[in-house]
Amino acid sequence: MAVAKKLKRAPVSVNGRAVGGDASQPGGKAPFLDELAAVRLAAIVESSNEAIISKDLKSIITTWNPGAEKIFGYSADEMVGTSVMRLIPADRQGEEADILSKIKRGEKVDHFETLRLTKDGRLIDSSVTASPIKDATGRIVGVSSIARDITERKQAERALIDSKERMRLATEATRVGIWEWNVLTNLVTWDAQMFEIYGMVPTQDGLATYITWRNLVLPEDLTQEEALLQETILWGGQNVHEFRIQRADNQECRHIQAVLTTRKNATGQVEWLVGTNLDITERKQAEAALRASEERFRTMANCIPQLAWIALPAGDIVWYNERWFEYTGTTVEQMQGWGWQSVHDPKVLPQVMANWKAALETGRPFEMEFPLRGRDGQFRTFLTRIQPLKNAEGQVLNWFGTNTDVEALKAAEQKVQNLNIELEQRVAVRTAELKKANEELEAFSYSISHDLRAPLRAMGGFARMLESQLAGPLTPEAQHSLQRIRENATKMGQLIDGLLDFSAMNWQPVAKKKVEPADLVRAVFAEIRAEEAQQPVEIEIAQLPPCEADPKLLKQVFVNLLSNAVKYSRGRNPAVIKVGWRQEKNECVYFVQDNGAGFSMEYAGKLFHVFHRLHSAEQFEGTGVGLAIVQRIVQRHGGRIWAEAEVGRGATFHFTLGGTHYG
Amino acid sequence: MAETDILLVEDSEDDASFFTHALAAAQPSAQTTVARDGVEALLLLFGAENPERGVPTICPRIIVLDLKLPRMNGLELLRLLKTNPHSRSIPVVILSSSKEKRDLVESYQLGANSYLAKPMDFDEFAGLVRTLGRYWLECNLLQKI
Repeated sequence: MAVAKKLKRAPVSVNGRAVGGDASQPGGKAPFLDELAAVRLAAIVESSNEAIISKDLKSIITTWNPGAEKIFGYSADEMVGTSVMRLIPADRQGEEADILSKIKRGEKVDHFETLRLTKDGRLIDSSVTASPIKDATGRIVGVSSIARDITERKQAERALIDSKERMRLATEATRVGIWEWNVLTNLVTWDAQMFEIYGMVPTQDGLATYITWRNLVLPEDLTQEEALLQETILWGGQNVHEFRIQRADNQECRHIQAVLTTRKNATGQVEWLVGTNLDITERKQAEAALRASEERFRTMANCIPQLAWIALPAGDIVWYNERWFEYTGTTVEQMQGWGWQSVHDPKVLPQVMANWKAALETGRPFEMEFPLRGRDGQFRTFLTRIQPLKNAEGQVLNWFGTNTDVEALKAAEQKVQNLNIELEQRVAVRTAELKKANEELEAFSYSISHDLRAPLRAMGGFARMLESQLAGPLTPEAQHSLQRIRENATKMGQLIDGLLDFSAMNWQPVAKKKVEPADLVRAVFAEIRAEEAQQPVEIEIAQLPPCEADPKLLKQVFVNLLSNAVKYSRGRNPAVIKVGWRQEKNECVYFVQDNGAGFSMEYAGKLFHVFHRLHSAEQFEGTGVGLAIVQRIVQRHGGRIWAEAEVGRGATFHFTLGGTHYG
Repeated sequence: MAETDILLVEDSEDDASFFTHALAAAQPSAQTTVARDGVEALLLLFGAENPERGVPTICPRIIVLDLKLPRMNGLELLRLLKTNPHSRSIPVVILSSSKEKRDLVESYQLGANSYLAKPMDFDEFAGLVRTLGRYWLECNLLQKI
């Protein structure tokens, strides 16, 4: 035993006392006992797991036990007589001088934790204790140094620190506060997050009190909370619950979600209550907002007159409004999934299914009318509209559907349709009647034109024959009478012609096209002048705007009006006729003006009546159908006609043609 | 039935008498035969022959035809006369009170050679008949059947 041998060679004292020496007998008066102590000490040194090294004041190693060999890898032979500096890492070499200066002052170095180098170059955590070695005179001659390998402990410590740090980071990130309550010592500790949650400044040591917490819990929730704590202490276990607090700093009410658990000591007694707190106010508010929003939606959905429902993307209907159940008389259970099919008309259902499946596949909205059975068993027609609610990726999240009762609407539509059909039938009947009446009128006119004329011609003819055959013996009066018979027969023939013309105006079709009235007026005037050229007549024709009219009928209007103008201006020198127009509101008003005989406005209303005349045939010849025909033509074009006149000062006839004109 | 120049188909006795009266003044030699309606006219023309295919037994130089006639009206008679190849070439002059466009159009479509409206005035009527007689019997060259 190298160490023992060396110890024998140089007796040393440790910790300032002679090793194995009796404290009451300094100086070592009992050699046997000293010897025994030295042997025991040597055995301890020999078997120790710690490195027990002695060195002189110049750091030269004097002894090196097996423990040192085990820790540092060097043997005693390698180390004794060499400097201890080879065990110290380069950046820590200064430590040795510090230790030596302390030793030289007679001081100890206790559990100095540092790093040391092993033979194979590893750095190991070491705890070093160094004490002076004194000789018999008490002079410090060396250093006894004990080094312990504390690598494992250090690692454990670091792991613990790491784990605590992770815990801190985790709680910080999740904002979960952690507290512990030692039931036995009544010590309560909070982590920083707990103080943060409760709106308090953290205490130096993280200590809090039960009372502090209790004061911040809302009184309504406190009873339940305390009961829960009592229960947990008694029965152990873990529970999750919620309560409300009033923050210390701003009195704000916050919702807390808490987890509570217990930790028992070795004796199985509950020693610790451990819990976490999490502020879930925002979540609660969001939940409340969502509930309110859902509540609003449901209220609205139940207020609308439509049946409404929500389906999953695959088509299962998961919610119906109250209206649905009221109308169909079904229950929530009956309507689960595809239960809605039971209120459909089996004849229409396949089409509904086809449309619904097509919508489900394409994600497109759909609209359809189909019958739904009410609680009374009667089907009513509903207009159904289904809209998909999609997410940002275009996936359908839900389908929203409404069914609007359109039965009344359909019935009304049907009624309107029926009325229309009925109306059409009535119109058809009336049209047929009118057509028949027209045909009868036509036949009547045809008959008149043949049958009424023949006797007139006979009357006139025979009177003429009588006149020529009996010329001699006839008195002038008799001759005049015969002439009157002939004249009247002719006159009646003219009346019949006029009547036929007038009646033709009632059924002749009006074929409208674009007409230049000024051209018509010029042509008509030329014709009239050709017949009666000797009368001095001046005519002024304005630039008349074109219009939509039947050219033949419009020509007849101008023929009659211009003939009248010429006829009733007879004797004027010159007769002046003006044909003009003006814009009145949205209408074009044409007029024909003369400076002739005129008439009293008193009779203006009768002017357009058939066979009604304001002048005698002696004054102005005529049948009394001309203006009636003009009025009928104007009316058949959708227009109006009226006259202004003064006796002896001429007359003006105004008329419109309705419809389109080219202003 | 002797040879005739004019076959007048006219139901009105008065008009027929005016016609012959007026014509006699201008064409004293002209022979006028009067039929009172279409049926009578056919009998005069074809006798027992089928009027659709038969050869007329008498051959007037012109036929003057009123339209409104009892039994068979003027247009029906006109159609028969103008479809039968043997009577087709006899000139037919319509003399009617009607100035209706449809009568006019239909008459010409069926092959009438002229359409005259009877004037109301007797002097005009007499003048027209004289003109008619002069034109058809003197001016116009007729094909002898």
